[in-house]
Amino acid sequence: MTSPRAPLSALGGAALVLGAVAWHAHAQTVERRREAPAIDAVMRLLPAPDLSFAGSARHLRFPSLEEPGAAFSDVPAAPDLDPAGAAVAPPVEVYTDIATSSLAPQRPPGRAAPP
Amino acid sequence: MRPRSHLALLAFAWVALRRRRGRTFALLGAVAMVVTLLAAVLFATSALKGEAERGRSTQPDVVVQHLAGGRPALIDPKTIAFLDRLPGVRRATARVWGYVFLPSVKANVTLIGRPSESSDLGAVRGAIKSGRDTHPGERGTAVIGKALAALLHVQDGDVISLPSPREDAPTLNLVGVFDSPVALYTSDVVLTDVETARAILDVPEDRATDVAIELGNPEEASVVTRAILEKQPALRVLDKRILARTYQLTYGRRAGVVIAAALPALLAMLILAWEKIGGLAPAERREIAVQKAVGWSTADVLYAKFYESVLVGSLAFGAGVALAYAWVFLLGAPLLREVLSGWSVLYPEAGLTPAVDPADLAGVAAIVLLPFFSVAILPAWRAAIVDPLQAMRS
Repeated sequence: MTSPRAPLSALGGAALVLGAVAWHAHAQTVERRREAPAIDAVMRLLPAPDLSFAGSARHLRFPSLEEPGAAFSDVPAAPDLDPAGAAVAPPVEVYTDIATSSLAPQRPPGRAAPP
Repeated sequence: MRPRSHLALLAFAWVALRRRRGRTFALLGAVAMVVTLLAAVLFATSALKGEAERGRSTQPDVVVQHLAGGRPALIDPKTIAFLDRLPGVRRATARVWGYVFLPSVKANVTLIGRPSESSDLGAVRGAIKSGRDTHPGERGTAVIGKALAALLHVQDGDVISLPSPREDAPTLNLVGVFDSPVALYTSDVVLTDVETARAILDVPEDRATDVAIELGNPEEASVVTRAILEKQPALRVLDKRILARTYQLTYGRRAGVVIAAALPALLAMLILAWEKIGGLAPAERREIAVQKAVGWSTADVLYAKFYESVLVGSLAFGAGVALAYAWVFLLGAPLLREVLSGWSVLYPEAGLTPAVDPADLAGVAAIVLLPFFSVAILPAWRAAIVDPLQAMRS
């Protein structure tokens, strides 16, 4: 009869690797947390907390300030992917919890403006 | 079935895998590759979202922009005063910032005029790499991003001139360079005083790019937004919570596209698994027939096959996750990062901080491993229910 030690050791090794990944991730996160004061201090001076990834199609350095009113998304003439978030949809709360009154009509449609 | 029997079947599966070493490694490699790809996309996306979310708490509750003809325009002093007087508004700060295209490096830089009452960055560890921060009241000095300084081959003490519509625009004395911990946010930033920013961007004395509003009660953001829009429909009001939506959409969409592009790889892996594990070779059919002939039940045969795929799947999952982690967080996600975050001349070199969500890993396991396990079971079951004598004769 073959001993089950070898397959159990292999499975244990895989679990150990995952544990090491989790440990390293935790250590890195703690390290990054130490840098929070510097990030906060600089961030207060920036227009928005967006990462500095200026796109090549349009120069939206701060998409969070520009995106809600952008005429089109990253690729002109491409389907507007924003509402569905592609294959992985954004959480529903992201839509439902946020008041989007800036996009709402200012008066009921069809009503004539007062003279 | 007793646990000891399960251990015996696990050991049998291990020996069977070792006996077919070439097939085992092919499968292990295929599954590990798919896991690596999916996990790396999720790791990088979570890390980018985490970085973007990190600074959200420091941002104003509401940002107001002025629209003219549907396009962003400068805000006039009357509007700034109106916003400052609104009930619930603790402070309305007119901000001056904008983009300047540098033809020499073919990149846009973000020129920001900082309020004079802001704190000294030099006193905060990790903010300034070299030199110092600009002093309150000082004119024409600037702190710039690390990537921009490297691209322009300048350092603190140098003088640079940014293109401006005004001929009398001042030059900038560089007094400092931002440090690595803030590189993700500042690679293209030129931080100077408001007056210098106005002069370079040609923003008139009393105008502003936008207005940052801090509220007495942040929960009243939607109420204040409504109040602003009722009185000034030409304004565009951005609630801080909208920022969260943008990050979810931007990075979620890009991750979704990459994952969708990776689906053929997942399918190819499943076909390979079906061929190698599920589509049993005649020798394996005979092996199952012999097992049945010597007294193995159908359940024993299925368990042995299941444990084979569990061993391959688990080892490949562990290897795949470790490779994905190393790819994204140790190597900086080469190739993948450009896809997810976009291309830029002024690319921040800073590494990403892990923001691993166990739910993401569970999702990868469900997407890859469940189909992998299931493709192994059905053909084994079909072989196991055939009469052993008939199977051995054929």
